Amino acid sequence: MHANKKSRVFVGLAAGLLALTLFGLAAASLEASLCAEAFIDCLFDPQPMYPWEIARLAFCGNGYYFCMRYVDPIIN
Amino acid sequence: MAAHKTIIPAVLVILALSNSVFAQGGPGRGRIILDEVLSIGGFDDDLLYQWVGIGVDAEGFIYVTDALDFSLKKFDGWGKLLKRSGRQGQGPGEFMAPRALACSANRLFVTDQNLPGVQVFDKELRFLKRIPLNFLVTEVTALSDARLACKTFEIQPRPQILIVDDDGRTLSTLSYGEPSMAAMTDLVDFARAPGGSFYLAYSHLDRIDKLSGDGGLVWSRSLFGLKKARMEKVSGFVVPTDIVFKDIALDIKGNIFVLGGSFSKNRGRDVYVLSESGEYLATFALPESSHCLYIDGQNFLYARANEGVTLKKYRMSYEGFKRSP
Repeated sequence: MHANKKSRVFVGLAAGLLALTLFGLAAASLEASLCAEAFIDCLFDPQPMYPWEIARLAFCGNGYYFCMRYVDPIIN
Repeated sequence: MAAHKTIIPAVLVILALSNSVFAQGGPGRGRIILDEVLSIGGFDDDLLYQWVGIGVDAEGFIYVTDALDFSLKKFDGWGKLLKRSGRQGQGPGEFMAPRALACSANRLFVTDQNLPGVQVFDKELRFLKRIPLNFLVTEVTALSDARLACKTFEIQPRPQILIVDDDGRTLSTLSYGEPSMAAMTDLVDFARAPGGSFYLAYSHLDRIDKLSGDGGLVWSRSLFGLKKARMEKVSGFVVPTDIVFKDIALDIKGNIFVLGGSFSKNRGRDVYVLSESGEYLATFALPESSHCLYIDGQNFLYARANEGVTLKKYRMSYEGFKRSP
């Protein structure tokens, strides 16, 4: 049980933690530009829930905002 | 030589004392000391994976959203997990990325980063309804069981906080900032005082505002000399790459606590305390970096530790304040 949690948590941390849930990315690097990279990937990924450009921009922008708020402490 | 024997220890004592002062507080007149009274979750248990939103009710029950566990959780005042609800999905009571949580007398309101609107639960974490809104919600505060204040992620001619009922109808709006603000610079965290005023901390501007209940600007102030957040072009879009303030909360006496970000000496840890009138009172540092700051009705402060695996609860002691709670 605990091993399961540790693996989930550390896999998350190693991959940029919340970026995974923020954008559904397969991988991300722990660099200062992580949120920006995730934002770009989000914009170019097909987003079935947000097919229109303006909606996709809001969706990805919102993800960028939360990434800045929540992931930021980890990468600095 | 004898003088050296007394001077050197004295200097060391003074240095040690000054270090402890600066570890807890800054150059303000007041000082706040934190004593940890509760710690929930750790790497060796399954209580929390990545908590994000928090609310504490009048009985002292603690509610959190857990992003990596796609869930809503209820703890008692001793940190025992009482209930858990939710799973990954888009159906009733399910989450794609649960975020902000607001607590009213009988209800919990939960936002989702990837889904518009707000989900409503009772205190036993039973799903009640979804409040339909057309936009993603970045921040929510409960005004009552049936009224919410929301900040949505949308382009508006003038930034505004929406006051909505639990059917999603807009009852009123509070405009703030300036018309046509640059992309994302209108994003704010906000707290509502019992008297009806709103305090706004801008995420990407060095600016804290107080609004009256009808939306009039009472005061506006900066903490870093109006230093500008960096704006960079990302894939054709200009976005801010500094986050100036991460959260805002009020203590039971109405003092304003603002969690600092990129411009702070200790990012994610420095907390600036202002009076109701915007007067700077003190700075203190959280033991660990946090994404949020929450103060409950008993004046306990909650913050993140271990990157969200742990929730810490602190008792606050005030020194040098005119009105200590």
